[in-house]
Amino acid sequence: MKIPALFTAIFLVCILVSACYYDSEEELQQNGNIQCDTINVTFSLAVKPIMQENCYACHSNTNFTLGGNIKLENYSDVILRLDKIKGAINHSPGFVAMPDGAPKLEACKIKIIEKWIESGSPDN
Amino acid sequence: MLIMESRRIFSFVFLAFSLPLQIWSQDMDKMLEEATGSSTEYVSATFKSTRIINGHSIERMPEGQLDFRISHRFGELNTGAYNLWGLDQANTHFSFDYGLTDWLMVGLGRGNYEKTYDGTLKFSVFRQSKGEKVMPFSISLFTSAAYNTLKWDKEIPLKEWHRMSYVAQILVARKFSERFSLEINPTYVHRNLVATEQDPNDIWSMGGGLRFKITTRFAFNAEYYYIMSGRHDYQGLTTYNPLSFGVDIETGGHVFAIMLTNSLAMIEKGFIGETTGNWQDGGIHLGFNISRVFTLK
Repeated sequence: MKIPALFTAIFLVCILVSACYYDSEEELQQNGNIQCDTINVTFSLAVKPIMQENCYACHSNTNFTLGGNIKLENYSDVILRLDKIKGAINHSPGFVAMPDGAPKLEACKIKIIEKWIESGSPDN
Repeated sequence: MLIMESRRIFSFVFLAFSLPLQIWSQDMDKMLEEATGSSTEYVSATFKSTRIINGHSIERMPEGQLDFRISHRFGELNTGAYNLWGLDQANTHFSFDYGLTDWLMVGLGRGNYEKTYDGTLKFSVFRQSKGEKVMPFSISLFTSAAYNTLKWDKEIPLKEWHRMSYVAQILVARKFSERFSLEINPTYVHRNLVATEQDPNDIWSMGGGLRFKITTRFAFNAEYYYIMSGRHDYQGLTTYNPLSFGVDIETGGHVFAIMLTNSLAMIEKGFIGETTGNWQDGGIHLGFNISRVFTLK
């Protein structure tokens, strides 16, 4: 009686342990597409807020000297450097990885910027 | 005449109370005879109940007996007079632990800490004994699974499994004398979902507990869990190792335990790795456990 019951119990424990996940909310948020709305991407409402949060510490109209004299605040300045922005935020070879001294942007933010560039980078 | 009458009543009351005692003692004799077929003498009552304070003790329910337990932890003492030093806040957990056999206990519980349901299994592997078979320690294995039922209002997709957490423990105890028992509990806690990438899904911990019996009805308990995982953070709050002191008071059929502890939760998943009270700042909770055993078989 004791031995079969013990094996049953060990079996049950094994089933439970096999249901172990190693997830974090942070990771799920980065991987999940739930919050990543790339359908209606506009410069003013989608792209610029990301840049404001991650780029303007060195690339605004006032402190661009910190960022190698590159301004990214006005639409007219941004469209001059689309390829460089795309390469920098993706940490692609041959580009300076951006944001400087910070982790790579979240996957969703990169996707939003790429989507805007792909759709012809409109001033909207 | 009056004296005769009162003597008769007294005798009747005495008989009424002593009869069940005699039956009970006959049962005990029979059990003892069965148990001592070999001359091995097993140690009993290493701890008073199935819990030391928050964590499990080596004890489990004998076959056919159900332990109904209600536990309560008030708020932190340092919340001041406005909250009556924590008494305005209440955190409860109740559980049913049943002895399927003399060596296997199953349990179900529910606590309002993260609205969690928990299921437990406790196996007795070795029992401390002397005589023909000598065993210096009692060893039990404890495992539990907890399911959090809090409403999920975040936008991240949540799988049901993310609500689960598991605990595995090896309980090693020794009753050194009639008065003093000690227990060591190596513990593993796994949480399927944590908040950030820096938070560990696995927590390793080493627990210890002791009981010092002062009188037959009164015992002092202490319990401490040392948490080995590096990060001491739970939802932005610093976490501490759970430390608890308490007394067991046996009141005929009930075991009443009163304690001071820095953890709010009453299940392993909660008090290991999520204890945010700090003894030095008065982050201490007053609490009690009440246990009542029912014989079902």
